[in-house]
Amino acid sequence: MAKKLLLIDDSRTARKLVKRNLPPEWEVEITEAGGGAEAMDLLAEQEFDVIFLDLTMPEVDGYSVLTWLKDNGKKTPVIVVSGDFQPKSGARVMNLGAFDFVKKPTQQDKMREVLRLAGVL
Amino acid sequence: VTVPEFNEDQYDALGEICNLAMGEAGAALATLLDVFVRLSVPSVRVLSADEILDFLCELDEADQEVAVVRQSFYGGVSGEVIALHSRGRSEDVADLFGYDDNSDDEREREVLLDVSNMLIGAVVNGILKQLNIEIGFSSPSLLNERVKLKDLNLNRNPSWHFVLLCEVNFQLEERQFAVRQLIFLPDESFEIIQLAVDEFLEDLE
Repeated sequence: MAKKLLLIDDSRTARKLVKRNLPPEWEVEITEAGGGAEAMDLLAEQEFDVIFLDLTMPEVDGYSVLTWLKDNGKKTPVIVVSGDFQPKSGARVMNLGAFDFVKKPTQQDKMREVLRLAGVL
Repeated sequence: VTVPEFNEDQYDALGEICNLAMGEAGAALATLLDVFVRLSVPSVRVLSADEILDFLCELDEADQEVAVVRQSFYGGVSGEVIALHSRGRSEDVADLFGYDDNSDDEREREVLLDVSNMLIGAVVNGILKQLNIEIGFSSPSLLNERVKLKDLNLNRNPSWHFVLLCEVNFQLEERQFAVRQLIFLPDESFEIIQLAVDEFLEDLE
């Protein structure tokens, strides 16, 4: 049965880059959100198996989404996919409950490894 | 002068390309100084040459004094970068970069040039490498040590009619140190950039 992925990034190009590097064997149904606010609306209404989350977004950024998920008791594993890979960003998102952190541009092998660790592949 | 328009996909791709380059530069700065660097959402737009000064005067730091560093690049495309350094307490800058605040204006100037050189090199190279465009850089120069943006004389190149402006910001958390980097690509480079972005996008399909 296909897993449900919520892919959150304000850039269509970034979302395409992430989708291109998903493992081809992964059965997945992808819902896309172009920003943090849209993502929170979707998360309030639907359950997902895994979330990919960008950090640098206008208005509601990735840190705010992680805080919202934590405050609302959502346990869906969040894989932060970001170009902001400074060490302190990684530490912050893990403290906010992220499952893992993947540097952009993503690599297919790394995505496969992280999805397996998250138990969705 | 007719300027080819950038379409929505091209703007979006350029934004993400800038985002990745900014991330690399931010990580280098964060590691160098052992700080957390707040990164902006990159902005990409086309301005007419006459709009540049108005644009600068509308920035958040328009009423503050900033240090201005300029650096040109050339090769596959040419253009220039203006780095605006918000002037915090000089002792904060001295502490960050490990020199004696009391001694040395010259040292502070060197630091501004060195930081600009590193960040500009990382961002501009980062952007253009993703587009398979090779460039070289001139040495950076300190245009003004303390100036309000409305008083800034950029001595703009008269051959520029329009520019593609890519903007990224770096702000150090808990420190009074911020850099706004404005990358200007004049209209003579537009066609090369557009073709390169289209190729980048085709690879995604």
